[in-house]
Amino acid sequence: MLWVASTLVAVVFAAPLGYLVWKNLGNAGDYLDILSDEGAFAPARRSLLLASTVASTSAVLGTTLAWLLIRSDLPGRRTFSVLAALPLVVPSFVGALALLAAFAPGGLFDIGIGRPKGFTGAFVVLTLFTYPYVYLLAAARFASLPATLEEAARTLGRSPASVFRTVVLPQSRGAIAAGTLLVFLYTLSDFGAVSLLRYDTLTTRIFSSRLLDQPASLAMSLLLAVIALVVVTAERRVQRRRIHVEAVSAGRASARASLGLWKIPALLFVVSVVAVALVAPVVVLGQWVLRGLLDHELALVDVFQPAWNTVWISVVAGAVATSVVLPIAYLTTRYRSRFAGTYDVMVVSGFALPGLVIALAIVFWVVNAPILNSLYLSFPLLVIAYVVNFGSQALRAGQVAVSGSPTGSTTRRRCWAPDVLAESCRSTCPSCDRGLAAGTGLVVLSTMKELPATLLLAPIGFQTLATRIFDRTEDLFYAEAGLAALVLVALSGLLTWLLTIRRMDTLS
Amino acid sequence: MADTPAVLTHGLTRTFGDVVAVDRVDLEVHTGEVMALLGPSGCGKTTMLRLLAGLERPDGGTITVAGDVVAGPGEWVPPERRHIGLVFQDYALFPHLSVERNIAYGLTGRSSRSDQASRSDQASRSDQASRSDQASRSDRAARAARVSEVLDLVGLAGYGDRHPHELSGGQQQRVALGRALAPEPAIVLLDEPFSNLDAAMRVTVRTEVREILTAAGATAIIVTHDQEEALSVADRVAVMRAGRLHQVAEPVDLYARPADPFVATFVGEADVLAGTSDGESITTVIGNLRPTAPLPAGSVDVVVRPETVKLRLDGSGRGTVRHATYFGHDQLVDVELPDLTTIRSRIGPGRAFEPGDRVSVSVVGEVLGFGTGPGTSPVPSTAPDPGDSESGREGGSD
Repeated sequence: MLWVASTLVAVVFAAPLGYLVWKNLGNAGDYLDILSDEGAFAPARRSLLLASTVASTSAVLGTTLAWLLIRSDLPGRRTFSVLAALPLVVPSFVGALALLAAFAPGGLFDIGIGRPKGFTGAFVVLTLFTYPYVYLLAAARFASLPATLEEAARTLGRSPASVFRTVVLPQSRGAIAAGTLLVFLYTLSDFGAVSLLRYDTLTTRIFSSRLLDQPASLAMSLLLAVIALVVVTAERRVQRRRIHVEAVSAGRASARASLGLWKIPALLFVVSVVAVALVAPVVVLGQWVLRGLLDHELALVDVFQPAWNTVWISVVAGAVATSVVLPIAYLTTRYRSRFAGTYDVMVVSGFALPGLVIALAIVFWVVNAPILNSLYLSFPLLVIAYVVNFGSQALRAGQVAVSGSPTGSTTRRRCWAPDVLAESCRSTCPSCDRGLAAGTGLVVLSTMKELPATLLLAPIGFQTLATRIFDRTEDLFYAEAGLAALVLVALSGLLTWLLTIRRMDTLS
Repeated sequence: MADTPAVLTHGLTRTFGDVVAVDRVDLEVHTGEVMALLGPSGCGKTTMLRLLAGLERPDGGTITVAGDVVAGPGEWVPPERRHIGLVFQDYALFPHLSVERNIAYGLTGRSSRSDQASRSDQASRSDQASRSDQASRSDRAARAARVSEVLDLVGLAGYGDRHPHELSGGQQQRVALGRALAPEPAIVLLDEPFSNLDAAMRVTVRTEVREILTAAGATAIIVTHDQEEALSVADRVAVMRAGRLHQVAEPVDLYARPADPFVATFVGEADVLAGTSDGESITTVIGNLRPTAPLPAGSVDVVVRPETVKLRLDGSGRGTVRHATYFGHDQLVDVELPDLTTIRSRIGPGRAFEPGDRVSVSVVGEVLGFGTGPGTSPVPSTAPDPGDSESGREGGSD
């Protein structure tokens, strides 16, 4: 029974990728031709360029912040260590909206440079709202590094800077790499920000060609999926070799480095990151909303329906995801077998696949299938898309809950993205039930911020906060978009605080 | 040069909040000797090591390493410029580096090789000069040569490519020792080096470590709470309690002539009896005892080692056998005296006494006596007791 259920679930999770491969196999000979006819290589190059620059900048930014806030004597580091993680709750398309709204005519930075667009805008927005992935993981790693390693290095004649380079950094490479991978995947699959900022990547091209040129759209989806999976697999392989060579502290925390005169520039740096990534968007959007309300162009009531839609569809997705992956969580933790392992990979690959690709595969499949097509633009199908996209987060939390002994499985695989999220929840929710609740919470959080799948699959007239923000921004209604964005940030901020950020207390 | 002590501390003090971890310690370590720093846990001996290595800043006093002040009022030399090797209790090997690169770690980044050569000539060992010549010709070749030399020294030739996690605990420890010794430090400090090993390995590893230190001609301080370890490994033992240094002596002297009741009971087994001295002999509950040295008249503490205590079955004896702990080669018999103190006697392995037996108690040879004054604690404890050491020292040594 358990096996039947698990097999069914795993098949559903693997279906989108399977469908993509199968459809593209149909015109396998022409695959490259289709891509080049469509001019897909330039957007692919741009996708890779954006993902790698955002990822590497985030790696530096996140690591620097983590070091300053965890390992130095920076004033106010306790408060900043929480604030620095918060930009995570701002979805990239909200960031893009804030950037556009700030420079738009009537915005706070209306300096007449016109609409910000292209690489620079996308790069800035995505870096500012994804660096917390690196920051959180690096901070956790820095906090768990045994003090004696650094002390030994010092007594062996190395300066603090040399110790950082030869001991701290190599010992934290796994965490930083894992965070960087998350940023890379997020940027690669980002649709909202690049679309609003008019930077033509694979995701925007897939989206725009879906109606006119199905084969091209499918071909590019497969290309995007393959890039994501290759990167994930490569990183996982490297990560596995790293398990033995990272020491974890048993005792005393390392001494904090004294910044001396550097305290002031360091503090300015931290403050400006938090100001730009956290305060600025809220201020910019708040200004538009306030003006809209004062001019009576904006009614608060308008946001109620999308907000309610967002909440209920997210909760349903979370509940379904948790119950659906539970059999697999049970199988993989209680019976170690190759099949269980395969199911595990099938579910987890959903995380690596861009939401747009999953949604698109589901759309094409359903539309072209005789019986299934009645499901198109229905709630069940939308929920399936969410579950396939985010089920891996519930799975990891579920595995932790079922195994009852969290440390074993999670510490060994702690650097795999969904694990990180699941594990950070585990610390606040130690018991089994609360572990599952945390998994549900993670799926709810991701669903609330989901954009491309909702755009493609939501029933006609069904608007979530995310799609409302996207539509209104495209139509330049910044006040309406801003209101929805503030509500969305508040909702997801609240949920994130409950789930994850509280854990930062244990770091400092 | 040869007279310069490897390490000299004067009035060294370190407090953590209200706790005085290291309290006005004067310590001298001769070049080339292996010293054990012995004391119960929490006595400040690890803090002492960290102060020497530069991982803690003293609140008072000075530290001199090979003639140079490295810490004191207005003086601070960071750990990387102290030329002090440290072997951590958890070894602190770099897990991401091979054994070879762990050992080579301290060979790069040293400020100057000539500085190092001038320090290492104190060790007065064979090929220092030729080695630093080599260094000036080719740093890389010199490093490689030094690494393989150290690998030989610690008996790990052929293990250079392994990673720490592929080695046993004893091997990891030898890597840690080799890594600390490789840059030829002025002194190498070992923090509880045998505590992470199981009992069976401990004795073997202890001997190996001592042999390695001797072969390297290194000056060393070994921190331990195990008196047997201290006595068997070190040339001299420094006994610490509650931040104070109680006595520094060679193992034989430490056992035979402890400076105070604490040292006597901490180093080897001993019981303390209250007594009264008339200058010549001491009256105790088990009769009159002869002290090793004349004592001023008054109340005294008498330290009695179990191997000097003889028991005889005697229905009218003053002692009652309470308990016997059997070890095979011998046994320890606990005897309760009329004043309810307990004295132990080490006797042969045969069946001798049953609990409840009445025995007479006598002591063979002379005993150690210590004058007791106000503020002294006759019964040893690990609680801080600053007045203890002074008064003990007066009555005890010489």
